[in-house]
Parts: sequence; C-alpha cells; structure tokens
Amino acid sequence: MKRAHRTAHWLIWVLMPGILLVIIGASLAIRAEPAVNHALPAALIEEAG
Amino acid sequence: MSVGFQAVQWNRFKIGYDIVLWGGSVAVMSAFIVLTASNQPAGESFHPVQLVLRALAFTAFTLLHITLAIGPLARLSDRFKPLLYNRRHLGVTVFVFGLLHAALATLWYHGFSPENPLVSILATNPNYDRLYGFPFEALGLGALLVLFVMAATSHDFWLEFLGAPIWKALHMLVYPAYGLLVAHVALGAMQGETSILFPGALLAGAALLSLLHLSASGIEWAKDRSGTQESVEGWLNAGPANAIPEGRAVILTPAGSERIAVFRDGARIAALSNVCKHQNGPLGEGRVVNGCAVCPWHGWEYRLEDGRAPAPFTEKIATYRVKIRSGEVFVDPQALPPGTPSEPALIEEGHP
Repeated sequence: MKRAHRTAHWLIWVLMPGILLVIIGASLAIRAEPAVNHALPAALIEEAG
Repeated sequence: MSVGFQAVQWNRFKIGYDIVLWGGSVAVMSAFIVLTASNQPAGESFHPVQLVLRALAFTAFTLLHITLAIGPLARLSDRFKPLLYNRRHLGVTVFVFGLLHAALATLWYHGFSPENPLVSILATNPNYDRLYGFPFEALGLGALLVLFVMAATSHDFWLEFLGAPIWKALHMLVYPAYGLLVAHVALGAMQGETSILFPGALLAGAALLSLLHLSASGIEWAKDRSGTQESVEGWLNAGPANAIPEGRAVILTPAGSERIAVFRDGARIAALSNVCKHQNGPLGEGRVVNGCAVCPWHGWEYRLEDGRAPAPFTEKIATYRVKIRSGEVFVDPQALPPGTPSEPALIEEGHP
C-alpha cells in the first residue's frame, strides 16, 4: 500500500469509532418506549356501545 | 492485465468460492427468517414481506462486516491473506443483497402512491433537521449509491482505467458507506425494537471492525513513523543477508517515501518497490517464484533484476541499487525509474 493510503486509512479509523458511538448512542437516547394506547380500545368500545 | 481488456477468467476456485458465498448467504437469510418468525413477541406478527426485507438487510450487513474485516485480518495474520483474493465478489454480493432490500422496501412502502417512489423516499418525511423521526431511508440510499459505484468499478478494467491510487481512494468510500448504514439501522429498524439484541449486535459489529482496523492501521502507522534508519553514506541497512529467508523479503521503510522490499532468491539479493502496480498490494509480503517477486494479494509478478512483469505483461515497478558489505545488505533509498535493470547483489562465499 502507498503511504498516503495507509495514512488516510489510519485517520479514518481513528475517527470512525467515535462517530459510530455517537450515532448509536444518540439513536438509543431518542428511542422511545413503545406506547401502549389503552385509551383507544376503551373509547372505541364505548363509542360502539 | 496490461495486455488489454479481458473478461474475468473463471476458474474452479472462483466458481467454488461463489457457490459457497451464495449458498452461505441464502442459508443466513433463511435462518434469519425462521428464527425471527418463531420468536415473535406475543400479539405481534411480521408481514412476510417485512420478514424478507429484514432478512435481506441482515444478510447484506453481515456480509459487509465480513468484507470489511478481511483487510485488517490479512494485515494482522498471513493465514487470512487468501481471503483477499476474491474479496470483490463479496463486495458485489453485498451490493446485490442491499439492492434487493432497497427495491423491495421501495415497492412495499412507496410503490402504492401516485408519487414517484424516489421522490417519496426523499421527500415524504421532511424531518432532516431532527434526529427523532429522521428519514433514515435516505441514509440507506446514500450507502447503496456508494456500493453501486464500488460494485460497478470492481472489475480490473476500471482498476487499470482509473489507476490504482484513484481506484483505491474511490473504494475507501466503503467506510463512509458503512457509517451511513449504521445510522440507517440505528435510526430505522432499531427505533421500533425493544430487544437489547438489536443495539447490542450493532455495537458489537462496530466495535469489532473498529478494533481490527485500528490495530492493523496503528501497526502500519507506527512502522511509517519509526522508519528505517540510514546508515552508511545514506544507504539503508537491511541487516545480514543470511537473515532474509529464502524466497522472501524484508521490508524497509525510508523516512518520507514508499517502502522497499528486499528479496532473497538463492544467492541473489534484489530490492524492488513494495507497492504492486495492480492494487498497491505489499509486494514484500509475497514470495519469489521462478525468479519473480509475486504479490500476495492477486499474484502479480515482477522480475527481481529489473522490476518488470514477465511477458506478455508490461507492468514495471521501481528498482533499487543493492550492495553487500561484510554480509550486511545495504540499499540505496533513491528509487530508480520503474523497470530499470539493477544487478542483484550476490551473497559471498563464507556468508551463506
């Protein structure tokens, strides 16, 4: 491999773990608990009589 | 090779490799479908199309991890070098599975409206300014475009047409593409999953690849930084001639320039550029066969005495002047023009 390619590869992988960690961490942080809408079936049942 | 464009030559090894690759991929996909279908939480059920969609994505993403791991594994251990030979087949297979996933997702989620499906993917969800509800499909589309360019240029015709440095730079786009795919999964499928398995697997894959690439590139970077010290009159000391294994090379790293491979072939010691013309592979990690240095990546050959590929091929690489003094090998770090004859030094009697 050429020196420039090796250096570019090294630079990419020095930065990559941090970038991946931020992406996965931020995605986990915004991940909402699945909402369970208990009100909807009750309202529908009521409306339906 | 250099005698003009030729169709890929299929051989039994390549056919066998592809049968194993595609058989394994279909097996992984089938296992994913069976396991997911049999482990669905009570009260939930995937539509068969959704199952196939995820199975295609899982297979493509798993293959991408394997493809990206081969490079650093081959740098860390010689036993993985044979996997480099047909790595491009793996890359093209990643693209095919990714394309099938994208096509099915487009048809399933965007194919039933009067809107152009591509416009629908990019414009239906305008939340590009926030992470929550981000249109993750656009990230997958970006990665697929990169994989398409790589698959389309994976043939040696493009390697020769673009030249190895540009071709390699182009194919390094696979790393940003991997980042896009991690974001695509994290902001897409992972958002609807409550199991720890999803983020756990994503993190484990990213950690494994990061560790492998950092280890391999860290070792190379350290070698480049330390360099081989000049000794007598600006020539580099490659050590005792008899310390170079028969048919092998030692690699010198002159400060600020490309590495030099110093080969031993019987009593002959010759120095060539360590950079193969094909894919810039590490020639010095190969071996000497019939008087030629053979690149460990794809078997390209160069004569030790002049750095030229044997006929009918016409590639040539830089050569270096070599001398032996008191059993020690010295190499002039000034590269001679590619293909310039440079008489190999001979190991003297008494210094076997």
